[in-house]
Amino acid sequence: MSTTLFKHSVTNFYLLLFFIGLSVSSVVLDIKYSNSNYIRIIINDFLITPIQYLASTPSTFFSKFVEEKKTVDQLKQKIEELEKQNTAMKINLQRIDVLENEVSRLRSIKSQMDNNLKNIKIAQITQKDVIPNKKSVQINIGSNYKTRVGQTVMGVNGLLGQVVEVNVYSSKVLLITDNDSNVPAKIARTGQQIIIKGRSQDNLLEVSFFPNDSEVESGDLIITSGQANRFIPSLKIGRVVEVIRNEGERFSQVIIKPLEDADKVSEVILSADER
Amino acid sequence: MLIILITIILGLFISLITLPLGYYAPEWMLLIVIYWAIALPSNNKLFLAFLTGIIVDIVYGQVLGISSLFYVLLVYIILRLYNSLRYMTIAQQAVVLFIFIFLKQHLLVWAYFIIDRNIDYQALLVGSIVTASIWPLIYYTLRFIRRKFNIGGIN
Repeated sequence: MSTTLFKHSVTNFYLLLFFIGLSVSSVVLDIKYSNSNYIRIIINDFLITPIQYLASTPSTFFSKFVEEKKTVDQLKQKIEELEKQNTAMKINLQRIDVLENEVSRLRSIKSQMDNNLKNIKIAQITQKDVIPNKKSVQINIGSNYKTRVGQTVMGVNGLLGQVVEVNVYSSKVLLITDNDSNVPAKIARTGQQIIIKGRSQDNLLEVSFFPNDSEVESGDLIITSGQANRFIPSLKIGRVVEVIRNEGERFSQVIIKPLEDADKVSEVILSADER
Repeated sequence: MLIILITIILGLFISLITLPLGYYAPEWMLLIVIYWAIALPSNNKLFLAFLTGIIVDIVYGQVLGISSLFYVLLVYIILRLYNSLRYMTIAQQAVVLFIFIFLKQHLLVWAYFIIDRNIDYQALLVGSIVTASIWPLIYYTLRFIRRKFNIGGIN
């Protein structure tokens, strides 16, 4: 009896050592070769994505149910609103002829400046908060559309974030408002290079290490600078809303409100620039 | 074994629902593995713990293998102690599990520190309390399932 008990525990121990070795080696492999991780992609696409779809089905069902219960009055109101917008657009359309000449002139100048916003792809946000305790979203295209890690993700109004994980049919995007994301940027008015850090708690951005004697005022437009070849240059990020000068310290606090809010958009644009 | 795998899949389902809570959410799959390790102690529970850890890593987007390492360690300790754990009341079990999970979270933070990455420490500590407090629910649900399908053949 005692011998079997002994054997039992010994095999357990060797099994434990085996699994610990396996875990540690997979940690090491994952850190060293994180780009060619097929196990992650396979399990993500064949096990987790279907279950995720199932898990999100009840909430989508309820939201659709609520949407369909909209009354006729609301729809009429909406039609009225859209007609109003339509007339406004028609008025604006008349000005286009004038603008067209200007655009063609400006475009010839611009084509020399940046030719890297050519083929863009439009993706849909399928889920939010996919990475624990980080500001992140999941989009519905992956390596089937040649998405790759580090690709710039933007909305219609401005920069949203970058791709951090790519699977076959989905990929994960880290937003610029996350604490861990740093964006090389510059102030459009003065051209000063800065680094922008996210603030997860209130969805704002702030400039890290902004010298006290540099010039900035609220309302300034912040654009990406394209340094470090991570983000596409000259994309809008946000506007300065508050400048707090700390007289006793070396750096002042500059708070930026992003132009694009990930909670309000459902479609994002991915750049497919070839570098 | 099939029923056990199905409960693991159910745990994955629930943890995907609670994913927006981040590390504040309870670790459903860990608790399910621990329950089966206490109820039916055998060597293949270590394999189960490893598999579950890998799945958790992929769901949470962590470094592959880092939580499976600590899941395997924790389940090994549980397998050595299952006799004394069985004689405890549910509340006592929850307290003991809290201590284990609390230590496990510290080891996780330590491992993250070694590989030079960030992890939300406060959320992990709160998460260990949440995980331990959810134990009675897991215990009674899985015991019901075990008796219903007569796994282990004793009851």
